[in-house]
Amino acid sequence: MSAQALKVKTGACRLFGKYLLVFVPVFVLSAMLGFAVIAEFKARNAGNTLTARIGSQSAHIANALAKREIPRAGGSQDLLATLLYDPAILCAEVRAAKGAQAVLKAPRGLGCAGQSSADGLDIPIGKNSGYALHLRFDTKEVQNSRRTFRDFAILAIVFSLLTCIVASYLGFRLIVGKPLSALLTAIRQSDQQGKPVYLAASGSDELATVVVAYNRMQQNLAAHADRIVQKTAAFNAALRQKEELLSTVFQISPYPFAIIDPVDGKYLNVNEAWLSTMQFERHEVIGKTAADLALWVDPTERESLVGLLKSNVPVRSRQVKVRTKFGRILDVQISGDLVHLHGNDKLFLVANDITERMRAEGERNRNFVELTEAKAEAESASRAKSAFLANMSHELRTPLNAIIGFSEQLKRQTFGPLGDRRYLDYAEYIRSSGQHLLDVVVGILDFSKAESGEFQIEESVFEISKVADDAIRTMEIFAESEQVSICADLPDELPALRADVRIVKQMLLNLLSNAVKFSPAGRAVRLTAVASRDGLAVTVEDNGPGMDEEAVKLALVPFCQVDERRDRNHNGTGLGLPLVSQFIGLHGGVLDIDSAPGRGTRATIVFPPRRLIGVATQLAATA
Amino acid sequence: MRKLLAPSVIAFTMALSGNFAAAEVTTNEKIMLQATMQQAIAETLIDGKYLYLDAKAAKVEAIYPAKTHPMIMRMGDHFILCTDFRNAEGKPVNVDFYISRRDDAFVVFDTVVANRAPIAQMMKSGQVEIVK
Repeated sequence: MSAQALKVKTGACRLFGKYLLVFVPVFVLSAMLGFAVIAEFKARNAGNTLTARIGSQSAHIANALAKREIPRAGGSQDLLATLLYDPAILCAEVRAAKGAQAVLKAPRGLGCAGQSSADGLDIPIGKNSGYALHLRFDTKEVQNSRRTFRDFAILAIVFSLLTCIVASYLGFRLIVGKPLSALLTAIRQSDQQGKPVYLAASGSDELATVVVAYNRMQQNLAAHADRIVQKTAAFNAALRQKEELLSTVFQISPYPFAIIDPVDGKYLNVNEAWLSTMQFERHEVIGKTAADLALWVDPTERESLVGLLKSNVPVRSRQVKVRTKFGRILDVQISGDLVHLHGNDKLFLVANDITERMRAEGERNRNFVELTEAKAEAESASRAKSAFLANMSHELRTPLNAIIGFSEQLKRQTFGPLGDRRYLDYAEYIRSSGQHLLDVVVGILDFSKAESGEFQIEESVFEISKVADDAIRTMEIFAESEQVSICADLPDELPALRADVRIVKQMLLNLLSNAVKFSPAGRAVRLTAVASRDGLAVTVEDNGPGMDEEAVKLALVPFCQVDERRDRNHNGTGLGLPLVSQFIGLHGGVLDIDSAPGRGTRATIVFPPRRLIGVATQLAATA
Repeated sequence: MRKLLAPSVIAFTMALSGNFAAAEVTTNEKIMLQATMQQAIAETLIDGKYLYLDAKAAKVEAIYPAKTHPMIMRMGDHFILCTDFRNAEGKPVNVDFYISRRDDAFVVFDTVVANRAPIAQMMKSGQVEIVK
């Protein structure tokens, strides 16, 4: 801070004039009041003094005359004349009675003749003399005293007032005016130069405090100004960065942007996406209106949108149709706002070309309707099929059980011999055919339930090896009849399985049945099981003719037999593998068929790891 | 200005009319009262001495007239005037004369020596006023 001593002479008249405006009336009124009070006291005192003086003198003269007994005695005239030494006493007389002729007169020979206008009184001379001292006097002395005092008071007031004004002016000029002028000059200079001007403060009175406060204020203002400059610079830099960023976003945005003058509707700027979408060149657009470019298919929509924006109502995702330079109609969603940019209002519009999306949505809607109808038809058909199959299975199983049961009784000749050997053969045909038909019906029922999701598995934990043994024993008679052997290779340490034991046995029976059926006589069917981190894999392998890839797919289609000629020889239902596929699916597993013509078939059902109990421990022990 | 002028005028008026408000007595009456007091003093003097009984000290004291007070006080229809006396040691002694009107003249009806307490008490209670 550089101290600068200023010596600037400026008039203090204005401030001093205000001071006089207050000081002079107060001074005059106070002085008048004071002098009036004093004058009143003084006048009273003068009056009382006058009356005391006249009273005392007249009383003394009366007493002196009374002692002479005869007022007419020699020397009485001289004694009476002493009263006239008092300037207030105009004349004196000694009278025998009130209104009587005077016996003594002062002034001698004249007495009070011609003094009728003056005040007068009679004082008795002695108690019994019969004479009275008559006096006439005036009170001009008191009035003169009052007048003299008034004149003196006025002079004193005027003189004091002038003295006070001069003293006040000089004092004000020296004490207040000069430092105040310096302060005002510093403020003016600071204002003109635009930089702080400091004052040198000396002393410790209120003006020195004001100067110190002024210097501190200048210091603070300078500091604030510096901070404002710095902040403004930082703000402008940030603003430039943001503008650059926004400009970049504006230009590279994949959405078409446009900035329009709301007054004349002319395009001020558009981005590359806008040009690309609307197929215009920049110079064809800038300075033109939408009407010039024939952009809007329905110009009233534009008027409505612009009207809203001008009313400061933002527009969001309004769907409209626009026309490109080459006449292509586009469906677009337009959003816009009225923004205050660079001191003016601008319309800021962004569009989203939804032409393709609208077309795709139309198509998708049509497909959806078709699919919904097809699904409804399929579900209706499926329900009808399921109902039909359930009813049919029930209606067929009842008579089939009777056929199988009674044919079994005939074959056993329970109630006596049938006679001819052919009856036994026929009874066997009836039973086997009935059993086949029952298997088909049960298979159809199970498949139908599984397919419709109505099949409920009953889970329990069991050893797969025991179930496999049961299945092999069940299939042994049939295998022997086909001259095929079944061998099992099941490790002892297989984990327990959580599954529906009846369904698992059914799956193994179906796989073994297929394998036996398609194995040539004299060959063996092999059943193996392996537990791993991927689950439990149970495989039935045969040495049959095998299937190509197409045949494998057909084998999984219900009622579709790969080799119908051969299958008919083996009474196949065409539901074996499809049922296995459905059942393993209900357990969360998969059916894998590995087959090739001339190489036999490996059918594997794989249970997921979560269905294996204690598999981690056993696998660790195995490893 | 009016804010300053109004209180000043009120104060001025009060100062003139406050404690000094008292019954008017003519100049003639004032002179007559003073003369009455002087005549009463002159008639009482014995060889220039004014004798009075000091009841507390139980003896007669002698004092000499010195200076007459111009101030006159009034107690109803009666007047009180005062004169300074001095004793033999020159010490001032105040004597109050109580005067009443009789016909066209006045007469001293009581004299109180060296005891201003009654007057002070009566002035305080408003019984005695200073005559303008």
